[in-house]
Amino acid sequence: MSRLGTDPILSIQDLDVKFTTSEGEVHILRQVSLDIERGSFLCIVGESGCGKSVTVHSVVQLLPENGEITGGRVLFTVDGRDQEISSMSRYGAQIRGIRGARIGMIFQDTMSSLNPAHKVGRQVAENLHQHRKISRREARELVVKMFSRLGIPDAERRVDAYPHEFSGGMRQRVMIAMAMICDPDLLIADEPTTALDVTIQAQIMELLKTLQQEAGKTVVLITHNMGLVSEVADDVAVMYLGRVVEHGSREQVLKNPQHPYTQALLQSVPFMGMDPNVPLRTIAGQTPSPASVTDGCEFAGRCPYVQDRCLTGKIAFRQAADGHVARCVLLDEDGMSECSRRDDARVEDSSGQEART
Amino acid sequence: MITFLIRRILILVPMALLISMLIFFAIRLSPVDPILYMVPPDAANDPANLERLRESLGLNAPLPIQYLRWLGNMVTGDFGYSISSGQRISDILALRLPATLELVGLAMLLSTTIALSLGLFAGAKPGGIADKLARTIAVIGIAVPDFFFGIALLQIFSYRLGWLPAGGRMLPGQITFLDRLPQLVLPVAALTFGMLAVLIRYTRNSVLDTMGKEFVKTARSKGVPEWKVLYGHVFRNSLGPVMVILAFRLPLLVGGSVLIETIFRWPGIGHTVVSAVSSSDYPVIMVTSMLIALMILFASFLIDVVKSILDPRVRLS
Repeated sequence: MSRLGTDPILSIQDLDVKFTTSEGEVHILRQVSLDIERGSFLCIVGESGCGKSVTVHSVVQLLPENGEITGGRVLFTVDGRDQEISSMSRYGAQIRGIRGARIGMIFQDTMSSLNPAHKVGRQVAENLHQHRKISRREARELVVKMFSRLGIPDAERRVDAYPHEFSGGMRQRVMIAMAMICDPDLLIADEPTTALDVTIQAQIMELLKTLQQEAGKTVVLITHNMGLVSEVADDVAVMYLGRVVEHGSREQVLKNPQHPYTQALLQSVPFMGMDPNVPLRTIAGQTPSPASVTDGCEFAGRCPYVQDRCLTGKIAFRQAADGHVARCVLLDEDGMSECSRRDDARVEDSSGQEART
Repeated sequence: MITFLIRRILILVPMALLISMLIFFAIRLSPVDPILYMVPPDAANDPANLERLRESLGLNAPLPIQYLRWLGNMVTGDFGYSISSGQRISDILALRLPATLELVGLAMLLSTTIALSLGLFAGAKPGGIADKLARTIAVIGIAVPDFFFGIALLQIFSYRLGWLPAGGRMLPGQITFLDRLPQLVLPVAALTFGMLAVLIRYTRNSVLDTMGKEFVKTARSKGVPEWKVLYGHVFRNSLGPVMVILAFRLPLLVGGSVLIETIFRWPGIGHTVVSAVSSSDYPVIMVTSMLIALMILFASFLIDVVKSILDPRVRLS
């Protein structure tokens, strides 16, 4: 059972992804299920290597050569038509008709994500030429318009500049222009602000939020910055070791986290006004290698509430509240987990917990 | 861009001068007296004759003066005379250079075309058919010296099968380029094969490297088909290292390939250089080394220009 959505634009169902490495096959994604509501702003959070990027890359069939979707499916729904992306071939015409046109991608490292040898205008226009019959001049006009709309000053002249002639923030705007130019329904941003400083980061986030709210785009943002999540997200999905462990609205996940991992993650975020003498909480133990966890709950090894029934079998999603699910056995039928009840007691003795969310 | 070019050209002049000095003075350091090669042995017995000859040839002038005279002559196109044959060096060059240009030029053109296309497909799909072919050619090409390959070609196609002539450049009555084509096939094939190996490896690895770059993923995320990704994004960005190898082969155009020329009795410049060295024909050695050195200078200039065209980031510095 995944979180119930009324009108998902993208539905990821029990997605399995395996990578072939020199040490054999590694199961990177296990039964990842996510419904992404049309017009919403979803943040996928989790530590490095938890499979956030792999998830969104498999959504557009852009996994590296050694990665492969081995199970489950990805449904993309536009204009009332379901398209099963997971069954399309990697470089085939079908998926290419979706990439760039219906789903725009924004990547993290703008310096290496833009071709250093081509002018930025040409790189943005390439997307247009790919999906529409359009003259060079028309394309250029559209690019200039998009540049000004996204706040790139002197757009008329800047379309003829090369990527290295832009600052990091402006390059990210170019990337966004590239993703936006064909007016896609879904924007996927893979840690778009990690390489940028805080003020630029805020500007880019504001831009993405505006695009969602005013242009009606669905935005999926991958990040490990919890501060960002609390500012922009409508929905939050938490991933750990190749699985979605919790999914709900921003309030639900941040204010009332159900999965022990989400709770631990939130407690390890420093916040303004916290007591500098109290050591920051960390999650005990190390993240295990994806290959080592084959059965039971992937967080069991580090979970303070671990029980026998966590160690074997498939742990299914349990509903905590309307639209709020977590993959934890401690969630009771009444929608309140034992661990969060226990955690309430813990929260009370660490003051300032409320201010964080 | 234009100031960049002018600056690069201006740097070439002092470098060319420095090289000419090196060549001139290094040759003068040699203990062999070239005058002894010029005169008949009976005339050499008389020191007064030799002295007179030295005086008239300007060999008694101070070295810097001699250098300036030589340089002046070189610049005005007067390359002097070969000591051993007495021919004008410019005549020798006019005779030999076209033969070498023809052989080496064709081989470079062929090897570049083959290596770039095969390397592109090999790098785009490592482990595929093109990659296997490329790796086989590269290993054989590096392991087998090109003179051996040349001899093998001669054995098979000329002596055994009799399909192609064994060597030489022109036969009587052969006027047009097409007439001479049969003689060209084997030496060009041998030279091409030798040049292929390194270039294929470089292209393949460079393409493979570029394929892993983030902007390739960006291009794919726009829905661009693979052939366009390869041609429009990967190829151009992979050419840099390949161009360096190519450019430094340009000197072969004026230096020739001694072994291949010898095997196929090709009257190229490589021949001339070797015989000049063995007979201490200093004027010829100086002119040919100068030519090769200038070609190397030109090649490095070309690399800068091509790189700045390929990568706009270079234009800044």
